Amino acid sequence: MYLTLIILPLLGSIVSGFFGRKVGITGSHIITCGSVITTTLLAIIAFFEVGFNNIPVTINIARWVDVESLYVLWNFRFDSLTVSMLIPVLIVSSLVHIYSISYMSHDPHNQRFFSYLSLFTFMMIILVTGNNYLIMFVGWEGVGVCSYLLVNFWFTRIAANQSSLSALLTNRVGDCLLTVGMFTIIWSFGNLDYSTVFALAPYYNETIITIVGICLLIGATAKSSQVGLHIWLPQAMEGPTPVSALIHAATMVTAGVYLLMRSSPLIEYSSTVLVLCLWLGAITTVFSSLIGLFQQDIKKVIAYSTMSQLGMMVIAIGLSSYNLALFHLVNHAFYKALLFLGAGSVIHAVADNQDFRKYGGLREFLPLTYSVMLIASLSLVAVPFMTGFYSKDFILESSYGQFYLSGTIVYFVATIGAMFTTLYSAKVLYLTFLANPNGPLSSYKHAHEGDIFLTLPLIILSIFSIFFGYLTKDIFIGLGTGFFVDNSLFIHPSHEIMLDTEFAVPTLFKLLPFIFTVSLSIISVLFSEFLPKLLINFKFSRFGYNIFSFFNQRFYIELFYNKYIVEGVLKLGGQTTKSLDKGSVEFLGPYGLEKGLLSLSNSLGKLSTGVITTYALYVLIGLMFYISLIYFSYNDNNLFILVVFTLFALLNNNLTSTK
Amino acid sequence: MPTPESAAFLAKKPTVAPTYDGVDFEDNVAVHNARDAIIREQWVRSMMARLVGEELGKCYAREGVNHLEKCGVFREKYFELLKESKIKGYLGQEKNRFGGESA
Repeated sequence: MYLTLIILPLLGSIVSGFFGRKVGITGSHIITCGSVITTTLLAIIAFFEVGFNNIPVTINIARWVDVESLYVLWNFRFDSLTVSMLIPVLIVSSLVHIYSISYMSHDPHNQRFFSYLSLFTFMMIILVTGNNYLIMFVGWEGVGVCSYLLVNFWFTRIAANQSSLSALLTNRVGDCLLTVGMFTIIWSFGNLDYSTVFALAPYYNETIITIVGICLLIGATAKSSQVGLHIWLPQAMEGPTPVSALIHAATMVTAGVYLLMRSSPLIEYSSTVLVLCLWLGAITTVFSSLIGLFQQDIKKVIAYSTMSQLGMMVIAIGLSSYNLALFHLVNHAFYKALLFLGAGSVIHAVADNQDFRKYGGLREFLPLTYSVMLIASLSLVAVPFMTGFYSKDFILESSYGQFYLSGTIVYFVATIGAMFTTLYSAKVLYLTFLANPNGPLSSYKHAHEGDIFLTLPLIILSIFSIFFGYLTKDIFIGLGTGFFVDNSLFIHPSHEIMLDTEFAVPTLFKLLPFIFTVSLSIISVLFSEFLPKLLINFKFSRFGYNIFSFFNQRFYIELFYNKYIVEGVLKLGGQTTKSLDKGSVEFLGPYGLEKGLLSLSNSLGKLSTGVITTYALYVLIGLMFYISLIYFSYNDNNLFILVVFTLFALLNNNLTSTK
Repeated sequence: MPTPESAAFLAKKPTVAPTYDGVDFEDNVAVHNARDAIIREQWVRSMMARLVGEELGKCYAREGVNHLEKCGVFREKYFELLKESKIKGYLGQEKNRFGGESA
């Protein structure tokens, strides 16, 4: 069953990709969707079998690297962390496959699209099931490549080319450091196997653990779009919306968080890495939600929202609450996929326009989409008893419940981030569905809900967005839950803050995020509805304009990168090409060899002078050389000097006589 | 399969010590045998590190949170073997010795 679970999406991808013409569009839909849905059902069975019964499954398939004591196998492990990751990955993947049947129905390259989607799902399964860092890295790179292929799916668009390249190159920075981390692990632990590394970690030098942890964290920063290496995620919204829902909301971007959770037995022994995670997450949360508030593209707002929630997960990791980070990851996957698919439904209805300043009044045309986006937004802003509430609110409380200075500051920073989250969620809902219609008439003429393939995934995801958190909270974060007994997530006993969070945090601080959420939602709608001129006047003032530009241009970080980093790197690359690749390497290599041989043959050709005495001289030189060859073996330097001197004298004499 | 105590195993047990101590460098056969023994010994240590590492991994997976208590023997042994798990070859050792003798 477990092997089938891994291999089915790959088979679907191969059939759809290589035999697309044979199977046709419908055949491709049936095969890829069928294989992914079957995999999902198997993953749900695995969740019950492995997770609830605490029976981890390990499968060894083949030998890969066999160098001295380093021994890396193609082996896969299904433990509670893996099966918990498989649930959101495969459920969202299945629903996105179904959704894409309708969304991509007018595209002429359906087979290729579905092949990429299934390949991505396969790579994600490899990433989460791999039992050592190298297999995980295969999946890690695989999802990166699939992300590139899918963002660049409409490859004739220059914006898609740029975005996909940006995603790939930014991720390379993280991958580079991740590779350094893996080399450090090999060098220090002699192995890449999770079990061996984690068994040794508690007894290893903390500096080495910190170095490895920082490398892993930078890898995660790029993949999970944390501040510094985040610029690719909003740009990746150039891809088709189902791709954004699957890859850039629910699954791939959580790979970095997964890496940190998987490495919990390692990073738990480095307090530096944990504090870095805490602050990185907090800065990402507030930074991205603030930018999200000032964007005008519906998908970009949701992309920044994804960044913000990923920041929350990294905060949970910094607090050593890995189970909480996992819970938020799963919950977030559902409601964020729902938000994206809802946004896709809106975009589909209004002739592919993504600027929500040209929306408005769509509630009448898209009642179902409005309902599901409302549900997703309520879940996102952590309205009580929705799915998001059980994890997001708990992360905020936990940061206070750590009772350290960093934790307390992070609580306030993350609460401010949550406030902005509320504001942009209200903004998206208000401007899209509730405000007066602002778009051209043509957009509204054909505005309609999609067919069953578009609406069914929305309904299923909305059910998850309401009930999943409530139903599974005790499994993931319940006090005394036995779900993670298999040691897939390790929390050092001195870092355990669950009890403090539950019983020691003052009620005011528990309620503060909720109070802000409700009050800001009301205030934002009231302002927009009854005092819109106040907002508009502020925006047109000099100060308002500057504020808006600064945040709309994303803190000018892209500008800074382009001006000071990208430009420098490009110049360096150009110089390297000029002086090394096309310069010295070429000169010492093919170009130099060609020129050198030509010059040598010309010189040799000039020896043929046609003068008999010159030929006689050559013969004499040759003869003397052969005679003196015997004496060279005696290693007599004087003889060598004598021969050279004689040759010189002869040549000199010859030249003088010619003149 | 022969056990470490069986005659078949003992018959194959190398008789040459993995060292150049007492080896006459003019005697090619002796040098060759010493090289074989040194390399074999390095590989044995490397493979032991691998086997102990595998057992440590299995122990970790089996014992879960109790691995700190239950896998100590493997862990200590692995740390010990890890230091000499790299195959260094015989050339360095041989050249140093040659240099030492000629000097």
